[in-house]
Amino acid sequence: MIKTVESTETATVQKTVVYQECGVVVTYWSGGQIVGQETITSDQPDLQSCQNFQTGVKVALWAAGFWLS
Amino acid sequence: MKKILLLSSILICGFYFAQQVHVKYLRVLSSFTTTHEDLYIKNNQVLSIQDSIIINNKLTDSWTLGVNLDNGKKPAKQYFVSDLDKNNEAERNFFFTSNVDSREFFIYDKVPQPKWNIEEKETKTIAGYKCQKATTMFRGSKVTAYFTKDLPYSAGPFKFYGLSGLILDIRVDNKDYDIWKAESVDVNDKSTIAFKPQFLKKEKISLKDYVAVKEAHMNKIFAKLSDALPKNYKARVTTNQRFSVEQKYEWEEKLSE
Repeated sequence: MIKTVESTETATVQKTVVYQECGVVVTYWSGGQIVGQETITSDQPDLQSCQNFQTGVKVALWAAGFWLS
Repeated sequence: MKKILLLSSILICGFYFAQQVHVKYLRVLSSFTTTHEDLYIKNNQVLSIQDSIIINNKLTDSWTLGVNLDNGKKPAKQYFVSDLDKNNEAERNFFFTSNVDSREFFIYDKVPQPKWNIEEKETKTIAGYKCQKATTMFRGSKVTAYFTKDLPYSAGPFKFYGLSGLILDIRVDNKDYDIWKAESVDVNDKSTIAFKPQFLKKEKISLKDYVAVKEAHMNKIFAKLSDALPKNYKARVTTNQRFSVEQKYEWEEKLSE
């Protein structure tokens, strides 16, 4: 008689999400000269999220009534 | 012999101070934009006019967002008015025009004479004139100038002065903008120039107050964007609003001492 012992191992894999700093520079112009600059950064998990963030800044500028060149 | 030399000097000086001099400078405003500045000198009066026509040389980098605060309006010409002072002046009075949003200003500025370091052996020919190199610190920026003793005026574009000849090239070190380079010099210019233009409609203001108005306006703009950013971004914002050659003013230096 053969005795079979079944063993089940459960491995828990923790997914580590690495956040990277994502940024966009907003340059304000007047009379051909730079009069101000803002660097807006945020931690984002991947390139897609970073691009979404950058688009979000653009939308915020439009919403604030700025004239994007 | 001495009398002949004296007479020659008087004649040469008389010739230069009776004539109207016009220097056309290429003015590099930023890494992407240029314009022209026209400097006129006659009978100790100096007027420099920065043109309103801005030439865009190339687009900004794709990772930057450009916001035009002129809202499509054509920029105004900028005037810089001053007088030559034959005495050893410690400072010179300048009056210049500028806009902040829709407000137009006529600004009074007392510019301390820069302490120039002249490098006699460093020469360059600009617009047909042999020029000498000089360096100084101008309001927090290291600048290098080339001036010519052949045009004995202590003047230059913008608010630059203090050398024994006219400045034909001046630029902020290690920058690809804030550059003024003479393209042409006419020592017998015939154009009619109002050396003391009246700006009756503009608000008269001191430089210190003007800087405060300008920076308060930019802070409002920065705040407007911050308010419009979605809060879930947890965005960090750093700002900077001093991009010109004037990085630090006299009253700020006194405060930091």
